Amino acid sequence: MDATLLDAEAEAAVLRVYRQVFAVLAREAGAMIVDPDLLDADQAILDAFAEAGSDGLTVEQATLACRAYPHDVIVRRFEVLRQYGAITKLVDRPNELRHRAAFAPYVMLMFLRRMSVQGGQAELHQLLTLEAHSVSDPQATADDGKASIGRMTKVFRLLGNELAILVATSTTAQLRENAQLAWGNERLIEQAEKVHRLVLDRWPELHRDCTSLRMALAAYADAVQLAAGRLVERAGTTRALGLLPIETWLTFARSSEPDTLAAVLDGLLFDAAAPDFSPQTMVEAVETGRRTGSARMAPPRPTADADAPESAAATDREDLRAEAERVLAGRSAVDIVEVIDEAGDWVTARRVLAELTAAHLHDELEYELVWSDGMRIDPAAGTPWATEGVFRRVAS
Amino acid sequence: MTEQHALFDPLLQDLSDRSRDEVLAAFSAVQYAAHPVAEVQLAGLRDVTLRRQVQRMLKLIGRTLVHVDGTHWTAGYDDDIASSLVAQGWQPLSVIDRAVLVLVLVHSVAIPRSEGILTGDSWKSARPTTVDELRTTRISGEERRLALQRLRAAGLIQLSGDHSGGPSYIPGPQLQRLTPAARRRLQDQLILAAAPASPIAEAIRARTGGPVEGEDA
Amino acid sequence: MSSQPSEAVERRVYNALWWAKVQSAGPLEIDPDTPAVAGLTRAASADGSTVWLVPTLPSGAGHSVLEELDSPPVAVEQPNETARVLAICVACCWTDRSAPAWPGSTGTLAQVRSVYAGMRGRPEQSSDLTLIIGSLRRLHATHWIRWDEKAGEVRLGPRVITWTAADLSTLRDLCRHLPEPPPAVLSTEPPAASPPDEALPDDALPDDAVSDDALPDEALSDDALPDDALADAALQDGPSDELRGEVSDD
Repeated sequence: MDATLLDAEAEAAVLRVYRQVFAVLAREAGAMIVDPDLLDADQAILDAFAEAGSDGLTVEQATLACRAYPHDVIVRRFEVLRQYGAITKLVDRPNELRHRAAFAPYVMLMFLRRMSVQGGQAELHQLLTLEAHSVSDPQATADDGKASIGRMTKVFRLLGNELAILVATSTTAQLRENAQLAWGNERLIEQAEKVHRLVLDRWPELHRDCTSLRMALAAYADAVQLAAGRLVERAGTTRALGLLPIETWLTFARSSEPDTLAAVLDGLLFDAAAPDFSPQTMVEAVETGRRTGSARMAPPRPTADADAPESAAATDREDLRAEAERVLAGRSAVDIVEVIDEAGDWVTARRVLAELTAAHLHDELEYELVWSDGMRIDPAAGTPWATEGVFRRVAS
Repeated sequence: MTEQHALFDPLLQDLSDRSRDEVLAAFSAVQYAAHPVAEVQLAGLRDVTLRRQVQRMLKLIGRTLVHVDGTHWTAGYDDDIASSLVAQGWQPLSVIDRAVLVLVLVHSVAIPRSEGILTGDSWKSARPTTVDELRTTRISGEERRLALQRLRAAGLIQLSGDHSGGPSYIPGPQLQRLTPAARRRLQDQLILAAAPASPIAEAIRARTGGPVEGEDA
Repeated sequence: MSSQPSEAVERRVYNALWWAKVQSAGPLEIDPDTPAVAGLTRAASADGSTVWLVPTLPSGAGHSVLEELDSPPVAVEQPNETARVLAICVACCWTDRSAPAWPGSTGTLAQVRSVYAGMRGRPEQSSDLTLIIGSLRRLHATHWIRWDEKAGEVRLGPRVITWTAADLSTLRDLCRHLPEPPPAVLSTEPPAASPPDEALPDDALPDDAVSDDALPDEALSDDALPDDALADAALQDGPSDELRGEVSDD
């Protein structure tokens, strides 16, 4: 939410919404803010007033409270807010230095920040809910219904026009930036249709107004479809994925049956694993196997009962677990250098390390091997050169 | 294995020994190397005439050259051959393997795309999919583990270099073998499966001439 | 005359489809009546009941090219362990070494275990079986061998039909250097109702592995498990992503 955290592109988007919203507030063209940071300054000033209590603030007190910002910036914004009536003198007399702030600008600021994050859709949803509420009110008259339908017709015309114009005139990148205009449109339309139904049932004489709303909704749906079509057309071979919201992907991944997931790859063909084992590779492998094949005892197993035979993979897992536990010896973490030194010779050390690495990589074992940058060099040790690191248990 | 090769000889016999070697080396590289190979590395890819021979060889076995990043080459299934096989119902990859692969693609590619943090237009991604993310589905631990093993063996996924949170996976080099048409098909089917009622899905159906769903019947 | 080009086209598509099938599924078991596919050799089982299609390449093509390019194929898990077990399967299943390796004869898990321990030059250890089974499964999945886990029996897979005379002579030599497998004791093919076995037959169970008194701090030194090069790299150069990325053996 903090404008300073947003990157340039997002900043531009924020500013666009602010400009749009402020357009109805500004007294004259050209007086619009051009830097979203100024909104932070405004907020800081209003925050300071909230803290100040009923005594209000002087300009100097405000700049002091907002000392995170340059002095002149605060003085200037203070003046702008004062001119717009967001800040007024505590008592209206010539020498009054203390001021108070109205609460409405702060509400506006919160609203703007929400709009800029969510593109105004959530607000539109809420407005539609309010419309439904008001036309359902037993006290409501046909005039109320007409006004409600009229407001919604205009909102959807504006939405539809904006999209249609974007589709016709803007670059794909601009269109993609505004993709949120198209998201969640079914729910918006559904909500609007609900209000439409309520009004038409209650005041059939408003059918002409209702027809206008239906047309506005249809135009909006068409514009959405056009925009989506154009986006898909230009999205290349993987970029259209970015047109769906993240939640859609998460829901799909979490709630789909394997069959549904697998069906995504229908019609795609992949190569089977086809490793090559040349006779020469086999000869070399046997050579190294023979050379290093000295005695090794099995690591202890957690249980020795004769259960149904586990799969080889599961046996492997238990072997790795046993080895990891042996190395940890009850501790939650152990230094790799210590493990290496304890192993004595290098051949043993590298085998132990290999198993710890395997335990780390095993997706059903809760251990991790974390390397750091340091290196221990000790000519007297069994393994003189050793990279520092830690092997530890991961909380599952 | 034999001196004569019934399939390739008619193509190869007209080449000089040197060209033949270069064509065969390039053919082998794009077919069997895990990753795409650099064009500059092989005469059989650099030289347009030789590359055409490589493409002819590939064509004979239902494959085609796939250009990667403008500088590398690999080989994938020819679109027509793939669709003929698909029409026969040919799908050697098991349901579980495909499901696990799709989960990796969702977490490593689709989600980062929605976050706007992936550049380029391929299925490559460095964003790891953790085992926890794979765990959230209706696939048992043992099934998942074996599927991950098979997918790794085929180069469809690979271990991510980032082991900070235990093992994690990213899409494997084999995904680079997809032709542009196959890449797009994968994108479209992923969107159609995840958000069938979205305007984007509808636009995809409109473009591919598929059945238009999501409208009230 | 005019039908000839289209026949040639049909022929080409036919070949291409089979090649694509083999590349996407591995060597394929086919109906013996299937017409020939250019470049795919037919590997018929000993009794002729089964035929596989296996791809062949002209000399000068194939994986050997990759080494020179320093552009490796997709990594195999435990590549050395797997290559060793394949060598042992060759030693057990290629009994008549004056004939080609394919189709060879049936070997047993007991033979593989015995040759494995002999190759290592020490008695069999509990972890051996895990490694052997893992390798057998990997080799089976990629058609280098056919591994019947229920029966504990192994045969060479159709891929070996592509071994050349030079390859076979190398392998003959390799077999001589491996310990002689004990005689194969094949399962007596029980007629029908054999008890539904678990994953492994009794003789394959790691019964001796499950010993209570295995000492935890006994000297452990064998490269059998994961990866020496891996650990090497970890110790000498710090962890390299590439090496740590693939758990393999030496």
